[in-house]
Amino acid sequence: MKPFEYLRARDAAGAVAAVTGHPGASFLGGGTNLVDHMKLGITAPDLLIDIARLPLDDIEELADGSVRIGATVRNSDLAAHRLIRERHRVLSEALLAGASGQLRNMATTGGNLLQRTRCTYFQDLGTPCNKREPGSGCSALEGVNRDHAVLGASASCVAVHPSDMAVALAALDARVVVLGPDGERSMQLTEFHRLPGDAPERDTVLEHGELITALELPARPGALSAYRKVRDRASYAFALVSVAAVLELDQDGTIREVRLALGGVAHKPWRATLAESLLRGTQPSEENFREAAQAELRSASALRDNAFKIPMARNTMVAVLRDLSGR
Amino acid sequence: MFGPEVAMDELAEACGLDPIELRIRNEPDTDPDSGKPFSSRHLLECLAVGAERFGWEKRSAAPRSRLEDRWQVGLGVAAATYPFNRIAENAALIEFNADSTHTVQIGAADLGTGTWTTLTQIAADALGCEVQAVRLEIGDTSLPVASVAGGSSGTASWGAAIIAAAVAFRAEHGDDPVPGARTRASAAADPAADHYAMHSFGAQFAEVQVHADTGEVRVPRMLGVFSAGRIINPRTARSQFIGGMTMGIGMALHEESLMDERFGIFTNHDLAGYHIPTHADIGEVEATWLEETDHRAGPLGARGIGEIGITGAAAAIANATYNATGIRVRELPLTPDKFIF
Repeated sequence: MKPFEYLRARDAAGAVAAVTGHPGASFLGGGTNLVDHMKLGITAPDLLIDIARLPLDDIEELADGSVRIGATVRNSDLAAHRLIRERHRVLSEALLAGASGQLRNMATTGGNLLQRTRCTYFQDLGTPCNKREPGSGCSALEGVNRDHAVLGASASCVAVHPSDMAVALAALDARVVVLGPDGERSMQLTEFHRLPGDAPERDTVLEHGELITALELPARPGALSAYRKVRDRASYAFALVSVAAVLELDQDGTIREVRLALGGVAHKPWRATLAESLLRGTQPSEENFREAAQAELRSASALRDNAFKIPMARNTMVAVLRDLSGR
Repeated sequence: MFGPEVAMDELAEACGLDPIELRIRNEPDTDPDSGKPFSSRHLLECLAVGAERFGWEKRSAAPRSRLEDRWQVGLGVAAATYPFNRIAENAALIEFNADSTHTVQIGAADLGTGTWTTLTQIAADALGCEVQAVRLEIGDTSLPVASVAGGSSGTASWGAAIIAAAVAFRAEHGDDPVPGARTRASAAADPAADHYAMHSFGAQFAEVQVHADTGEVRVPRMLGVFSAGRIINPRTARSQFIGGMTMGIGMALHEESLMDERFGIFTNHDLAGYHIPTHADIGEVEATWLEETDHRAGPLGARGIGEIGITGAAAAIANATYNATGIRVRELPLTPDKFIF
């Protein structure tokens, strides 16, 4: 084990200052991914700033009906919260579809967004990986790549983002609030994670020292939402494909608004904006759902082992929309 | 058993026969491999008992006949067989104690299958005493020599040595032994073993659901009916059977080692990547057995049960997925990608 220093942050500004001034420092939340990485040797921070006990663990409704979620709220608490279950069901379902009860009790909201790909080559120090060691090459591109991306990948990286929660947040138009050395900024969740391009070592747009302090979910009265995760076993497995959907219907049944996000298919939660635009203003129907899903996936491309993800994503989008519009 | 029992299912369909009927029509009188008679063979009874209990008559011969709430439902069956070999090289030592208990020593091992319990029962039975009066000692190589806990041979092989030692002890020390009386004996070889084909048998039944949209496979219901000679302890036997069937679900749905030959690594080399069933994957798994004693299978009349529980399980599940979907999968595991197009 590499020795490291551990400090418990007293406040968010202090935590940001401590990490900003220290290139080898890292924030520690629930530790469910970072500690694994330290054991595997993927990362070796020499200073951990524990932010899990900062007073960022509230879930509150704001005056405009939006919901603000503190970054250190545990996944299990978030999933169980009344505001989330009643108004943003897709988020509760996504959280409960992820990991195990024990892990959800530890994992934080901010940490969930920052968890890294489970690509085996990223986790195995004995193989080249551009994400772990920029410039070394991508082993998955021509390796065992059943779990890998079919959308938005690049020649340097075909990894997928593992989070379920983030997929639901993408469909909910969530915003991420970040505190940095120069103060606070916020961005759409869909702008928070990056596609790999030629810099797959960067999962997000966060700069070193920037700390996620909260998420904000805009009010969406009357919206129906659901999360469907397809995986190799009934529990405790990462998504092969997942779909988060938020649907608003007019009185006459026309689709007023629809938001779709896909998990398990890309380096970030994939907002299916093309499918959404095709569905807006139409009547819900199996044919329309299918056409929209197919259009979204026209840009998908398969690797050796993952061609099944394309029809699986199509079918799952159709299935979720069929279920939601039938409610 | 996976390949042959899936092939039997394909053959039954090609012949237009129910897969159980195909097996009835082809039931051999003697072991086709060695030409010897079977010590005991009740495969057809296993199939009949299982078909009755499982509701096999509800199965539609035509695949893709049942769609329930977007799940395609199917039933499948497979036969199971596993050879029985009692290992003769076993010895046990019995000593009578001042407190009127018997210490019974044998270098056997309990892998979690219930050896502590079953060998205590066997010793008490052979000594004609209460189980409370047996102090079993196992799990130490300094104890009298014993064979492995493997090959579905443990209970029958160790039990035979304990019975031999008990018989010798009673002959030597009578009904009223003095404290310190001790006898060591080895199990005799099995004269019948050369003249009979000895196998355990079973019938595995599975109900599966394959999701019409996503290809996910679930096994809500399984039943195994086994013929393994005398069952020593129903509780530990059932546990071992359903444990084997549960591992069979893992074999059918999940387990696979993926090798990247460029690096010589297994890419799913931890339990996050190498999947075994979770609780959520296991539905109703039930095991039962025929009441019987195989008098040719050594002094216990018991054949092995360690491996027959998993045998045929994956084939029954694969055959059920064919019945559900019309998609024949000959390569395990039965992951969702194999049922989606």
